[in-house]
Amino acid sequence: MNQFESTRRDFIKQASATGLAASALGTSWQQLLASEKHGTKGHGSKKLPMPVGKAEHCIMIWLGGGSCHIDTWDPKRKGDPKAKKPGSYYDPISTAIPGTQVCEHLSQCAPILDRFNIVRSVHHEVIDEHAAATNRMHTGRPTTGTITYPSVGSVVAHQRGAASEHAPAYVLIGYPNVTRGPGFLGSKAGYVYLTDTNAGPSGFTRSTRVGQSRQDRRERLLTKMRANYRQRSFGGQTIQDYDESVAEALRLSGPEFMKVFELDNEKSDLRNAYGGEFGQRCLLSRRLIQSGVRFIEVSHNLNFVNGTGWDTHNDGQLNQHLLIKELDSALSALVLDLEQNKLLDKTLIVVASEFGRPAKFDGGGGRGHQSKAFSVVLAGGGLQNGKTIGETNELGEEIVSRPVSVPDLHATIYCALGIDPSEELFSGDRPVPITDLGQPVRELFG
Amino acid sequence: MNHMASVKRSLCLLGLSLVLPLSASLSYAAEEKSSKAKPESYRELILSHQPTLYWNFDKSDPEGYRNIAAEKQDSESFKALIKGKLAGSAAGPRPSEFPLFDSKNQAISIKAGDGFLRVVDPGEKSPLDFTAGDEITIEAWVNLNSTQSGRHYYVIGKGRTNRKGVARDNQNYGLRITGSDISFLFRGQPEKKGVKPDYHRWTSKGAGISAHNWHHIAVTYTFGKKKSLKAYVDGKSVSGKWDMGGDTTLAPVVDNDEVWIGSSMGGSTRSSFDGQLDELAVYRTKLTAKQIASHFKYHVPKARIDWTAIPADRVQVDLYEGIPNKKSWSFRPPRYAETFTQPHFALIEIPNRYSARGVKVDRPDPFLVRAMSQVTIPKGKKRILVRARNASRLYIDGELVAETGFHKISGSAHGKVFDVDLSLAPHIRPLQRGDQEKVIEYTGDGKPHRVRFEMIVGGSGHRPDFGETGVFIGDPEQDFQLLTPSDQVVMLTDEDWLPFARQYRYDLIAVNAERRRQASAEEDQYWDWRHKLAKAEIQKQPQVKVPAASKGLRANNAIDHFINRRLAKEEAQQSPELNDLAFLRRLSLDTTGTVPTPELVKEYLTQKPETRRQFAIERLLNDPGWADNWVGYWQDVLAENPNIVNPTLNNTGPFRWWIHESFYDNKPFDRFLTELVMMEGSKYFGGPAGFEMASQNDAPMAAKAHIVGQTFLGLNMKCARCHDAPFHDFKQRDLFSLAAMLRRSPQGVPKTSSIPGFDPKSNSMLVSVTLLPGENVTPKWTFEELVKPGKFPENYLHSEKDTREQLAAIITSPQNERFANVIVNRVWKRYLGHGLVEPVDDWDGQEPSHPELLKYLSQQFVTHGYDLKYLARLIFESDLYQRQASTDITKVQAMFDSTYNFSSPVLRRMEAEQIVDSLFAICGKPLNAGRMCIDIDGSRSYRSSLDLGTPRRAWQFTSPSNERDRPSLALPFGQPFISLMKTFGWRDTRQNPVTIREYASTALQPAILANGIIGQRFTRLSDDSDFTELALEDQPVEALVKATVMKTLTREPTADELKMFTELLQPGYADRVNPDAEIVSRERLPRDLVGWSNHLSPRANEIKVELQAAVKQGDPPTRRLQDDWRDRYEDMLWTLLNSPEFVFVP
Repeated sequence: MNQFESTRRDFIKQASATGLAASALGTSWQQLLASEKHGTKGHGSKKLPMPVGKAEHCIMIWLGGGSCHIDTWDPKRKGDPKAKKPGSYYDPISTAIPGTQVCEHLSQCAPILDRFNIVRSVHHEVIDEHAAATNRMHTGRPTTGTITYPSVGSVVAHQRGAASEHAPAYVLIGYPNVTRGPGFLGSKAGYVYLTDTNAGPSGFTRSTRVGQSRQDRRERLLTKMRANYRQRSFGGQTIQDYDESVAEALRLSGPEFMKVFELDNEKSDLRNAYGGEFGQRCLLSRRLIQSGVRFIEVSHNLNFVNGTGWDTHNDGQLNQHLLIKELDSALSALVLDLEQNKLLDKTLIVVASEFGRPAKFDGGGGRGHQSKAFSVVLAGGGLQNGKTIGETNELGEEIVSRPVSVPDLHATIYCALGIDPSEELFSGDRPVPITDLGQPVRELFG
Repeated sequence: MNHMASVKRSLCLLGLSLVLPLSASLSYAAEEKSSKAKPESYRELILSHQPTLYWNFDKSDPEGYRNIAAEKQDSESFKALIKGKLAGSAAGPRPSEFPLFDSKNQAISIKAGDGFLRVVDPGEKSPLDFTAGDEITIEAWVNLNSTQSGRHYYVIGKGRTNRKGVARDNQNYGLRITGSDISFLFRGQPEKKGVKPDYHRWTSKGAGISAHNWHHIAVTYTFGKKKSLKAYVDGKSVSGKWDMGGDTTLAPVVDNDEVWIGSSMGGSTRSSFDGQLDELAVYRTKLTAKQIASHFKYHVPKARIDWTAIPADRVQVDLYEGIPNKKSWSFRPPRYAETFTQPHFALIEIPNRYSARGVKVDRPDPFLVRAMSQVTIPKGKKRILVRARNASRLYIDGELVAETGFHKISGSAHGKVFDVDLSLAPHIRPLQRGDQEKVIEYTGDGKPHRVRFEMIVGGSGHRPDFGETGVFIGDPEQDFQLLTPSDQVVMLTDEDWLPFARQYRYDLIAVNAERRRQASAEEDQYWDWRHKLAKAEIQKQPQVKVPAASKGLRANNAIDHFINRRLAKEEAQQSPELNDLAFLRRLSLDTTGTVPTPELVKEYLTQKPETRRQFAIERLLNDPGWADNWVGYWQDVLAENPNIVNPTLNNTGPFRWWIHESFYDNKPFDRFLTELVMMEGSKYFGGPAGFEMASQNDAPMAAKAHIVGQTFLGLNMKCARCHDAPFHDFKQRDLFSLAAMLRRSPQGVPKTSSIPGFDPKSNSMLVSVTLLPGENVTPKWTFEELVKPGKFPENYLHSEKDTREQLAAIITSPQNERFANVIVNRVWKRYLGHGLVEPVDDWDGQEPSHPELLKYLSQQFVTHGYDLKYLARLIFESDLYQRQASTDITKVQAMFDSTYNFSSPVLRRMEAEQIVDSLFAICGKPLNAGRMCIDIDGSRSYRSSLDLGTPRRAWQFTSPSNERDRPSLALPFGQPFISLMKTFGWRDTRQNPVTIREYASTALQPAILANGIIGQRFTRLSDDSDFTELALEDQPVEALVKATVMKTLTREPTADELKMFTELLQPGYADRVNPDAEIVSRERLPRDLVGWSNHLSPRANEIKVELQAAVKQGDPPTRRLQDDWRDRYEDMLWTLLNSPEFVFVP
């Protein structure tokens, strides 16, 4: 019996002791409270049902550092750092969504923007530090000291598992850190990570010094050792489980899954369309999805390009357009490639960042941090694409309409993937709803 | 003995010598000539400049101190009245250092928060009031206990008292010290109504006021007149600026509020003076620079170094404190603090300082280190190289011969990457980023010379780091070696330096333990006394009777008798005994955290079979690895969560070092708890104060109360953070009462500590909230069901009113059986795989499986002074511990209606740390994991950039915290360790406490051992692997197979295995050795070139990617073995590592 079951048992015991009707057990405690908040005493009788989306996979592109919304997805009147005039850094261009403009360097996404949704009114209150804001955008919550919350990717991995037994549920292409981790959900909801598309994931990629014949020799020896140990040990479940994982590990590091990482097998035109290392990460993401990976986080912050990555303080601003262009070509290639492979409706793409940046320029011609209004972009995923959600004021500093909180954004992602964002997970015996009262952006669902 | 007296005594006793230059101002002050008749005393001198208010603090009455500037000497006007209590009178500045004073000069001593002086304002337009056009001079002598930046130490202020009936923020004027600087403050009076008034604040820059030194400070100003402010320290003008509200023509606000001396804002600690204060005067005129200079005169004490006292083959290192926080060598002779000796002129780390309680404390920042020795310099032309982290000076025979500059690397992240420079010497270890160097030529004469090296450590917010500071000597064009009066030769090459530094740091562990012991001798006696009381208390209780032996069941000690009684009743079988080698492997993992070494195995097997196990228990209990094996456990349980860059994720300080010290010392467990709860000592460098931190947490003490409750009392109050616990008997109030005890003041309930969307007006049935956000909960022990606090014996508490100390004493009181029970149960679970009470951190409503045994062990634990090793020994000696683990946790957890009878221990997997430590202990390679530090040059504030050092053991790793996703901020050498350990349930960040790690099997676990970098390093036969040496030995192939299996799995190979591996290794065995092959030395990697300060440079990314590739490449294979044979032997190692047997504790 694991911890989770034990808590369920306690919960039921407790619930019946307190006289809660059995039928109410299915009703989440959060909804209960929410309904009370709205003055409806019945057990959520008036609450709207959560929409159930059609997406099977999710690719979250993470623009670490805080991408500037008014220099990308929410262009405003142009400013000038030299004249200390606040505003966008680039000219806007029209897109496939009538009335929605984006920055000129998103020229490849613009004509296919009808496959996208821009949410221009995301907000939170964490601004001073990247790690804390990154944590908020990944977990939807501040740190408390009593619990470590799981990331979106881990929740999806936990709720839906991998789509194939030959693939892990959650792959991270970027540096590992706690905000991307499984928190209280435990390592089964954790990621397999890689930082270099040529190298494959750590753990499943064999040393180049070990060719197939050597590997065969190793496995022959190991098979005997394992059998020997199984015989000598008392043969409990714990050892059996581990022994089975050894077999699974050998399978995953075998050719079937590892061939996913052989990007050379793709046509060179397509590889070129995706672009550099970041583009290759996006291409790899498509291949991972095809192999059965459920959730992929792709980091785009190789600060080779402009020095600072998306954290464009001071002179980081000067070459920001190179980052944007890189994003533009990779993202547009990914959308079209998924569409070509009939995967776009099944794959939700999320382009997110820890915060946006203000219209004012700093002393060095760059920008500071702004979390009270910024953009997150969705694409595909079987949503009602081609809608732009929310509006900011003339310089993108305040939200004017349709604010979308981080829990709301997460609820939208979860609903798109068929996960009820009000469902409770358990940290020991403590129930923790997947989102804190997050409401999906319902206009994106059919 | 007061502080100053102690300083002076140490000056005399040690014959302290100081040859530091004096600042120009001092000589200026000394040359000052007065045209008037010379005043006879300082008092007369001040009075001659006609102050309005002057307190010299020489005489007091019970009420306070007279203003001696009053016309009538017995006048009560402007008397400074005592509020609260002063810390008694203390010596003021006195000769010979301060010749203006007499030898009986007195000062007042203020302990921040305890008390201050107040002067009543007689009414409108009193001499205490100042407005636009008025001139003012305020001066005082100050001697601070601390100079924390960010804190404002009030010297004097009018208004801003927060008294009832007067406006808040009514500061007419205020003179404070902040950090090492002067701060002058008033609130402006806007000319128009409806305009919000501003504070106007002037702060000096680089004034250099230091703690534990007498300084004279003065400010002159004309209110309402721009550019009129002047400030002086020690008679010398200091610059500064209006850094808040700007310079202004506005008048200050004036009312009839009091003047307070030594405090402000209701007397709060943070706004109070802390130290001694003397000769406070306020003038309604502006004194001239000349007049102010005449108030300060300083006489440099004569000093000399006693070279004869320095042992001939040692370097004596003295530490001095009380130097100002500024980039200058011009300061008064600092205070002597400590001495130690070492064999050489390398300063890469120095021994820690410990408080009288035995916890690590920080030295004043900055401090001065001076290393001295008589060294024979060989004849001929030499080069001497000085490398230093901060400003340093090298003297030979009293003459300054080399100097390095002050730390000057900017923390902006845009710095340059410097290429490795090897031009100085053929094989030189490159200069470390953040260090500076200077080379001089010197002609030796084969005779001894007095070599003296000085460096300023820390300062300007930098970590008090040493980098790779040292003095080196060499022949022209040749390599350098570390300067030493001893015979030890350490060349300044990577090859020599790295093992030297590793050994040096390792040796410091024992040195520090000795220093702790010395510093806390009295505290040790106190705890001995407490343990006597505890023992007496337990002996008053009814003693648990040990059951008689059960027939037919093996038993070694009392534990077995308790266990067997139930087994006999249930007619259950004991599992078979472990064989000797399996026992040794289990015991070694449980004590040192690593599998036993071949040497220990050999010695063990030579012991007589009957005493073998006892021998191993004694040996391993006393192994220093005992401490290493406990750190990871307590890091998890206590949520130790340091963050090496910008701590904002509920981070703590790195109190891992305190945990290690505690177990190294086998600290009694009640003392461990007490130190944790007191949270004293060093916050950022490893003391228990690190536990106090919880970055970005709006109720840190609620988080700590949760940890303390769960860890030591089995009270799980995690839900109580936000509401009353639905499955427990706790109220949110319980948690917050405990939090308030830790906070030493009422704890408010923050908004986030409630359920999102919860409406308090309509409580649901399931959860109820009885505390509302904003409510204040007072400190109180509410768990009376565990223990009702009685009166403590006299002198039991150091400070009776301290609620932290009360809490620690209540928890550890022998009447509180829960504390000992919980600790016993934790240890039991760790060694036997399952608790007597489950879960070990949540006892609410749980019954122990063996209540009598638990009580027996707890009584033993307490009567033996809360000695964890005593308890461990009882368990290790039991027959139960020495049995095969033929039960697994799935079976035990499936028992719904009964508890576990302990027919055998429960099977355990090795902990993540044990896997890593064992792998490297077996193959004998150094971890080579790089530093757990981003800010390698110490360019940033130490508050936001920790250095957790280069790991020696697995518990020392931490999260790289690369939320920024920058290759340049990655830790390529450490990451493979971190990835592997995380896979096996270790946490690189610990936002919350966890007792039981996750043990579920995942495919990634065997995968990362099979294919990951650490597994590859274990397997790879490089020239630094013990397996390479083993393979080179001249022995039959069977012997090699046996030795290899023994080394890795602590057992003989089975017949099948012996056959299989012999067949594998036999072909080509005779010719496996390449006799002429050289040792492969690795190509130099661009390590230690990138830190925070240059990580935004493009080269920084390239370097890290290069390093990552090199790490992936792995250790270079040896050439001493034929490739084909080597591959096969590596495959054997791979097989042993990947067999599930390796990761399970036998």
